[in-house]
Amino acid sequence: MTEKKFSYNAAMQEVEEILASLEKNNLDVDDMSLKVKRATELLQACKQKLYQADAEIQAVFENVKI
Amino acid sequence: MMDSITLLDLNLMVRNRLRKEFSDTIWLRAEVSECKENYSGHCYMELIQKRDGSDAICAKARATVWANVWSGLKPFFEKQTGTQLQPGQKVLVEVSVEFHELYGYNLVIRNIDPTYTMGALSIRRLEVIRQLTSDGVIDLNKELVWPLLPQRLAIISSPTAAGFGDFMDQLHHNDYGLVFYTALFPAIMQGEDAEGSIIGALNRIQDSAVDFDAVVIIRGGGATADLSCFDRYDLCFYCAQYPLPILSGIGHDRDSSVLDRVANTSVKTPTAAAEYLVSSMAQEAFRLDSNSEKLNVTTQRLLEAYKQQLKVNSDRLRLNVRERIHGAELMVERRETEIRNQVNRLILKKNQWVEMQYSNLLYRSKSNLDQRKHKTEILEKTLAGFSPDILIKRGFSLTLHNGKIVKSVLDLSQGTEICTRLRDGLIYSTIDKTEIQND
Repeated sequence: MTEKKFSYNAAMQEVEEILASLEKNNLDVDDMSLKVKRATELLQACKQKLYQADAEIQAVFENVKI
Repeated sequence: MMDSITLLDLNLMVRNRLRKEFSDTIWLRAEVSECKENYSGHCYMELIQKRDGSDAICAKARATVWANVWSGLKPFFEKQTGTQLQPGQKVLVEVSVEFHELYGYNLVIRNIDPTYTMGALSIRRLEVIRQLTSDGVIDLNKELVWPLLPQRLAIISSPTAAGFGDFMDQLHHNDYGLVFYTALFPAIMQGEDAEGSIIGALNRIQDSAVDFDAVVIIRGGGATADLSCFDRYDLCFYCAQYPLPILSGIGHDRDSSVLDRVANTSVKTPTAAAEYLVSSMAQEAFRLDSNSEKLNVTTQRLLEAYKQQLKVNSDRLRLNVRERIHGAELMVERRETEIRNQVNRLILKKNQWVEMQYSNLLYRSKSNLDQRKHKTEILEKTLAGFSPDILIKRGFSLTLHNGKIVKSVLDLSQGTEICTRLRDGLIYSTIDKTEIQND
């Protein structure tokens, strides 16, 4: 996953698309494991966004305050 | 010295005249420009009147509400209007006109009609709303999509307000551990300077608008509740067109201000604003959790299904292989039997042939033997004709030497005794002479 411009919304949408295709069960095993891996990574990144302070944003905000 | 009176005399005269002239109370329309309650519970105000369509004051008077009246009027007014009596408000008050020789002209307020104030406030609000509507901007901020993650927030507040502290505390120490980034843009939140100050803060935020998800305008704490600045056309016009969604929590219970009307989202208090932000984020956190859970469950279910399928397939494969091996074994056995049978048949055939050959041979050799026997018999018969006995009987004789037949002259020499056999006996003689005869 590229680090630049992570979009929470896009990530979540992709996760939900993956879930939909998993639930339809129209994937073969290889695709499934790839998709599950991708969804897990995306969810991890989303979680990070919600629960872990991003130093870069923090720094921007420090500057804004001045 | 001309006729003259003292100031006290004059003031007393004015006081008496006024008392006579204004013996009844009067209902008076005015605007409050100052309003202060002192330590003993009396309320001191300044009432003004402005010229129509301008801010220029054309009349002014002091007014007092005595503590015994104020203690009843204050809660009544606040309950009815939802605001405190404060500068800027239009009021309809029942007054008695008084003049005190030392303190001068003063209006003593006996009663107040809150519906007038409410009407004036709402008329002013409605006018602003009508103007914003005809400007086509009233819903612009409302139409902005409230961010999925309202995480980076520009806060417009007074830094010292209790409401701001509560807001920050509630936001940053939320139950879910959700992360928020806040930048405070200090502004004056009440009084005459509030409008310009808030617009200034909004301007500063707009300089780095990309860094923010939303603007939060909060106001809270403090005794007075002068919300009139939030009904001002300029501020509301600015807010309505603001590129970031605005969340207002300006702390009032009853009426909503025009700012509340134009803001993307409006809640009552700073605490409610924090709750709203946290719950917005928590909703996403919940969605995240539920998707995580769904992914887990679905993956497990699929893995289980694949496992099952794998088992079925491997069972089928095993069965298939076993069937095939079994089939092959049967085939081999059949072939073996066939070969054995064929070999047996061949062997049998060969045996028959050999037997036939053998019997043939046997037959043939027997007949051959019989023939030979026959021939031998004939020969024997023929030969019998040639036996010495028969020959001797026919007249031939046989010469013997030492019991052996003499066949050549060379075997004999002079003086050798020989025996000659004849049909009827033997002749013993000694050789005189030998002579070789050649044919």
